[in-house]
Amino acid sequence: MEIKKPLRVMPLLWTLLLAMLIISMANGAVSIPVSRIWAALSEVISSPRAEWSSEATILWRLRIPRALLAAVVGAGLATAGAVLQGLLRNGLADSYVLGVSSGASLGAALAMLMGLRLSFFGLGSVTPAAFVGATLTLFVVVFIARRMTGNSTLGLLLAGIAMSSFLSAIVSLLVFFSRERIQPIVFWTMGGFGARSWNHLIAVAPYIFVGYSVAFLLNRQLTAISLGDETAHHLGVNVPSTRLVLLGASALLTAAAVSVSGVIGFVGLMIPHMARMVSSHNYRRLLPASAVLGATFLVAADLIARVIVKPAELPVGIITALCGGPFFIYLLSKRRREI
Amino acid sequence: MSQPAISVHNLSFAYSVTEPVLTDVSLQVISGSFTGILGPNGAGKSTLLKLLSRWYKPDSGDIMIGGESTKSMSHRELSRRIAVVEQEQRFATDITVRELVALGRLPYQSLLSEESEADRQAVELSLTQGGLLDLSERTLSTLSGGERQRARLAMALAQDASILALDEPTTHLDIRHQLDLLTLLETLRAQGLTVLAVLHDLNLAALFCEDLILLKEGQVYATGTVDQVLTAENIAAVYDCRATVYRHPIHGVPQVALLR
Repeated sequence: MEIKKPLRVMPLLWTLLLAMLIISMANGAVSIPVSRIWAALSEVISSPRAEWSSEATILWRLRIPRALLAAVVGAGLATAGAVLQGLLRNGLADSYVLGVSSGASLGAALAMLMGLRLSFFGLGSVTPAAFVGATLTLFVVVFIARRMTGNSTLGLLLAGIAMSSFLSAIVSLLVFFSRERIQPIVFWTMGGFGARSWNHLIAVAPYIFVGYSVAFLLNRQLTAISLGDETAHHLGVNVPSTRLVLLGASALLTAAAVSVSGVIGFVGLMIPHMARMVSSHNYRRLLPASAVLGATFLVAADLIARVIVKPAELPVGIITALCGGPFFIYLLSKRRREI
Repeated sequence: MSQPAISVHNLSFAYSVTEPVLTDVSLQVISGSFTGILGPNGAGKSTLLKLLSRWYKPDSGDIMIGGESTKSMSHRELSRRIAVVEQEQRFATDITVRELVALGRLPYQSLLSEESEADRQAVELSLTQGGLLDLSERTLSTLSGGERQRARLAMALAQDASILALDEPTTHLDIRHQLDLLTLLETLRAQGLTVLAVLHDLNLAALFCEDLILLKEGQVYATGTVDQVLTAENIAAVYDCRATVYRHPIHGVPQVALLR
C-alpha cells in the first residue's frame, strides 16, 4: 500500500498544538519554566489542594483551563468556518463575516440580561440562547443571499455585514442600558479568555464535540455539496436536509464559542484556507486539520494577548482581527473576477 | 428486447406557468443501447436529464427505471440505478482524482461506514476504465479538460449504476478528445451499460449512437434508430435549416451536410 502524504500531516499538527499548549502554560504574568510544568502537574495530582505551590495553583486554576478553552473554541470556530465555506461554496464565508457570531452574542446577551437560569442539561441557558440567535441569523443571511441576490458572493457578504452590524448595535444598546447592573456582560462582549475556569470548559466542550462530530460524520456529503448541489444530488445525497443539518452544526459551534468567549473574528475564515494548503480539500481530512490548526492558532493568539502588554491583557479578538483583516482582503483580491 | 431501461410517460415540466419546458413527453430507452438526445438550444434536452435524475420534480407524468417508478425511490436508490455526468463545470473543491471517484461510492455508504473492499475495487475499476490510473493522485485543477471529463465520468462509473446519463459530454473538447470520450462510452455500452447522452454534433451522434431522441420545443419530434431519425426533413423541421443527408463512406451511417 502506498502512503498518502496528506495523512501524515495530522501528527505534525497535533505536535504543534501540544507544543503551543505547553508554551502557553509556561508564559504569562508569571513565567513558569517548561521544565517545572511537569513537577507542578504531579503536585496537583499527588498533594491536597491546600499544600500546592503557587506555580501549581496558577497552572491548574488559571493557565490549563484557559489554554484548553482557547483550543476548544479555536477548533469550534475553525470547523464552523470550514463547514460554511463548503456548504456555501464560498471561501469568504465564516461565522463572523456572515453575522452568525453577532446573532449568537445577541442571544447570549439576552439570556444573561434576563438572568435565564433555567438549566439545560445543567449547562445554563446562555449557550442554548446563543444557538437560537446564531441559527436565526444564519438562516436569514443565507435566505437573503439566495433569494434576493441570486446567491452571489457579494450578496452573501453584504447580507452578512448588514446583519452583523445591526445585531452588534443591538448588543451594544443592551450593554449600554445595563452597564451598572451587569458588569460581566461588558467583560464578555470584549471577547477573550480572561478569568475563564474549568466550569466554562466543561460547559462548552460538549457542544463543540457534538458540532464537530456531526460535521465529520457528514464529511463525504459535505465534500459532495462543495462540488455542487446537483453533483451531490446525483450521488444520492439529500441536499436540502443535509444542508440544514450542517448549517445547524456550524451555528451550534459558533454559539458555543461565542457564549463562553464572546465574539472572536476571522478564525473560521483564515484557518480552513491554511488547512487546505497543508492538508486537503477533502473534508475527511480538512475537518480534523482545520480543528487542530484553529485550536493552535487561538491558543497562540491568546498567549500573545496575555503577554504583549503584561500584566494587563488585550482582548484576543484584536489579535485575530489584526491577522484576519489583511487575510480577508487578500482573499477578496484573489476572487476579484468572481465578484 | 426485454424491458426498456427507461420509459417516460406523459412527462410535463415547467419552471413557471408561462414557461413550459417539456410538454407531454413519452419515450423509451432500450436497455443496453447508446441513445443520443438531440435538439436545438432550449428544446429541453438538459431538463429531460434533470427530470430523469429527479433534480427537478415533474409536474405530471411518470418515469420508470427498470420497470419501477422513480417517484417511490429514495435519492440513494435512484443514484444506484442512474449515474449522471453534468455539463462541464469547474469545481472549486480541488480534491484528487481518486477522491472524486471514491465519492461515486456514496450511494452505498452509511454515515459510519469506512470504505469497504467492494468500494475500493469499484474505484480501482472505474479509474482503470477511465484511463486514470496514472493520474489518480493528481488534483482536479492540474488536469486538462479531457482528463477532467474522464474523471467525472469515472466518478459516475463508480456508482455502479446500469444507466449512465451525460449532458453534453463532448462540449469544450477538441475533436481528438471528443472521439476518445465517445469511443470510451461505446466500450462501456458494449460491456452492458445503457448510455444516454445529450449531444450537439449530429454527425458524431450518428457515428456512435444506435437510437436517437429528437426534441423540439419541449416535445419529442422523432425517436427511433439513427436511420429513422436523422433525415433531411426532420433536420429542416427541428433546426430550421436546410441540410442533405448522405452515407458515411466508411461506416455507412447517415451524415449531415448543411446547405447554405
